[in-house]
Amino acid sequence: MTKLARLTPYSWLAIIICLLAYLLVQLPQRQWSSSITALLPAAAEPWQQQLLGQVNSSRQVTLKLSGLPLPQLRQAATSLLQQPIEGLSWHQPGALLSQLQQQYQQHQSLLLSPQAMQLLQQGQYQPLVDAAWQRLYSPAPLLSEALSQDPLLLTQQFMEQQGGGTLMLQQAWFETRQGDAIVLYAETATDPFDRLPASVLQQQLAQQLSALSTQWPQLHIARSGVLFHAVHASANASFEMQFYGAISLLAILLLLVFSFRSARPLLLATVVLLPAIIAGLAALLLVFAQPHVLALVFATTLIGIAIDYSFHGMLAANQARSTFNAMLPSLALGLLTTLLGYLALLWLPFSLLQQVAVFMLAGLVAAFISVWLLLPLLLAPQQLHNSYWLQQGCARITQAYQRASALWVWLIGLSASAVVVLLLLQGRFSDDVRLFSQSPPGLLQQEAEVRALGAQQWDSRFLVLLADNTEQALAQEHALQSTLTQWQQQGWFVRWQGLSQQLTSQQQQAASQQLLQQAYQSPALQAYLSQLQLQPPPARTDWLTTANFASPLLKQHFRVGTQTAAIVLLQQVSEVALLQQAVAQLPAVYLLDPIADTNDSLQQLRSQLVIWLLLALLVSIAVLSWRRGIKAALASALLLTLAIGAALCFSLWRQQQLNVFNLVAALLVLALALDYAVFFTSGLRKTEVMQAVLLSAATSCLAFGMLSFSQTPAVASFGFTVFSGVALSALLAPLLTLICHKEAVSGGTL
Amino acid sequence: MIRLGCLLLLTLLLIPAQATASQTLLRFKPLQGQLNFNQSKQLQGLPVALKSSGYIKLDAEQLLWHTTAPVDSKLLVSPAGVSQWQQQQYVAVAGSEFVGQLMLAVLQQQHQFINAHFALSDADNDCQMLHPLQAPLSNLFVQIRLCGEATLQQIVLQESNGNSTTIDLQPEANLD
Repeated sequence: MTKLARLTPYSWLAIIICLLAYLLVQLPQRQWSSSITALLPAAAEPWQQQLLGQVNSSRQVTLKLSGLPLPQLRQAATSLLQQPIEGLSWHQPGALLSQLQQQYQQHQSLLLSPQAMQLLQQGQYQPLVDAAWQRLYSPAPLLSEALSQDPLLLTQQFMEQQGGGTLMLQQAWFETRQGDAIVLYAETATDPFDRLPASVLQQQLAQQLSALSTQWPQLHIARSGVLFHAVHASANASFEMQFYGAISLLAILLLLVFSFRSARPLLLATVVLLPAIIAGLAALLLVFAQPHVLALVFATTLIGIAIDYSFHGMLAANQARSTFNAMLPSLALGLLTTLLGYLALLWLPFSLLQQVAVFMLAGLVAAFISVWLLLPLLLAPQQLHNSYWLQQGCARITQAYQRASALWVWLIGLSASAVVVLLLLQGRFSDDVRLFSQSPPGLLQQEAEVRALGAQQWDSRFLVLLADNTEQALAQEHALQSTLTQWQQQGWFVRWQGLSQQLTSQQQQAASQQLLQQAYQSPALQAYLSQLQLQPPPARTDWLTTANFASPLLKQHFRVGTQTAAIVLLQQVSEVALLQQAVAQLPAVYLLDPIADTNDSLQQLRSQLVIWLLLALLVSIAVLSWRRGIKAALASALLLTLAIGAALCFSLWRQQQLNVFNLVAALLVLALALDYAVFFTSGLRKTEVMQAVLLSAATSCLAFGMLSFSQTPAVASFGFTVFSGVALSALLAPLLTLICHKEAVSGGTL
Repeated sequence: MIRLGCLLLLTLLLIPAQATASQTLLRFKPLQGQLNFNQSKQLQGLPVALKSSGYIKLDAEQLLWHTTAPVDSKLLVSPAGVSQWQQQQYVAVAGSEFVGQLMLAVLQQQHQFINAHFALSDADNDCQMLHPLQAPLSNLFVQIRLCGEATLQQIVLQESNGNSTTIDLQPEANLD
């Protein structure tokens, strides 16, 4: 052995130690994302993506307090508000209304309702006078100095036309009309999908709510907001990652002890697994600034695949150095085909899959290098006691498979594949992103309870008006008001909210002043003013603009590049198709539907995955055909089609419909099943191959099968398909020896 | 035995206290049916008061405030909100919402509503004062004065901006 060859394993260990040091430095600083939608490719145009990045509706938190008499509910709400939580700001609706009223009071007669404006434009003054008299004789209070500044009380009426909603407004919260519940609104400073700060915030709030429940045991608290769902999903994913990772690790250890009755294989397996995990994680952190926790959940399967390599390596190295060397090309071929499967994922515009691919590519390469360089160094031939019973069992299974007829295997295999393909062609796909994560029923019930109150719960779809500046956006939104009201009256949605409901453009304010001055000279207005013994007020020029106007609705205007985007929020949209059609007729108005866009992206991704799956299958067959001959390649293709097809059929039967994660799983089944095909079509001794494949399939089935119990439907779908696919592949792969026995060369290599 | 005696004594002491509280709350009989009203509104900057009259129709869950003179105006108050009769239909009016609810609560003597929003105190001449407990109500009204013997006869809304509204009520039977 040359000096260089002797040094290579130590160089590899040094690289792993460097990567470990990198991880120790990087891991505490990195933020992990937990949003499923954030992982998906955006179907929207760049300006829409930019806008969606700024819209922070996901930061809203709503609490409903009930179950106590109103005075006690108020005490509970006050107690909650008196203990501020960093990063959570409670809304003060009463204070906001007072502020709004004060602004209107200081700028009376500048803001007019569209109806009043229309009457002024048409010179129909008498209805305005009649309305003013009606308002004057109403017992309701008026704005200060209303008559002297705005004798027709038009700003007063403009203010009163703004929707009141179903809840009664108080200084720091809303109350139901029946007085049986209080609703509090808050906004989080951080992104709810930012795992650590969101989790800290949610815990602090939960502690305060728990203290309230202790003080008032009858108090019922319902929560609503993305924060609660995101923190639950994140905690769940972290737990599942640790739990399923630990279970699969334990299963591997037990299998090793059962097979070899020694602790040495544990050390050898660790020598393969640890570098794989370290390299995978390091690559993930190097390539992605904010990796996703779900990537780690999927990547726990690295343990299952990397352990295959250690089994093949251990069993071969235990026999003789020459056997190990003969095994290596098959392992390399298995690695090559698996890498091709994962490389396919890397080219897809799907961040989660790219992250999984990067993790697995680096991890698998590291696992192979560790087997190649470290196992022969740590394991001398015949050093391990291979379980006699296991060897005998594998030999008998191999013999049992040999009894089957190759012709029948071909016939049954082809017929079964045809049936499976036909069944799959009739299967249904669901591309609804909402099905991928599932919140606990308790949280969903609370969400529904809060939503039933109806206030400030906006649809995920919204309208966007694009303009050159804020002034123009306000004017455009104002022009759209009558259309919006018409759509509302037609029942397309229940309510809408836009800045133009509170503020009109400067141009419009100037126009209203001009029209009012004309109106004051009319006989109807002259008579009205004289009856009240009032003088007509002079025209105003102290405009109310976005610069001197304060309102939360200002947050509905965004800068998008060089343009201004005005958002109109909608409540309970029921006629999406009609709304889409109508909006398509309007210039510079868009209906944005982030969920539908994401679903479109998923549909595209699904189509791409099907193409990539077929492509990966063809490339694998080509590689196998090159190394094993056409017959072995075709037989392997049949095995892969049957295993993948049947796994998808089982998933279809279990889920009623397939999703994109089943297809991702199919890609992984392809990679794993190819490994088995590579070894069973090789000239290696079939008993050892059977033992290694059985052990690795058992560990993979445990690792992936565990995922099918995940509470996250996306993970569960993935786990079940891989589990069924791997189990079927392991069952069917030994049949390849029947079909390809002519190609097999005793004790052979590639 | 001593414990039982104490309990009985406590019960006897509590019963009159609760009765007194109930009497304060049940100062006026809840009104039903139709009432006539005369309203006088004194606005800042107006030399004369704005006087109007009409009738109020009270059902179990809604109130119709119909001003008949000098202008014809209808305000309908129901649990769904307040709406005004405009061009042959009722149109929701957000600003008058609370006043409508207040009127309904005062006329029907809805103690839960009144206690939830006001501090109650007795005043001279068979009157009761309602002081708003918190904003935004306290920003609108300084106080509300309710007067009458067995039934409510006068409501005075004292606004924070200096305006005041006096509403005199008469059951329809007393009209003639």
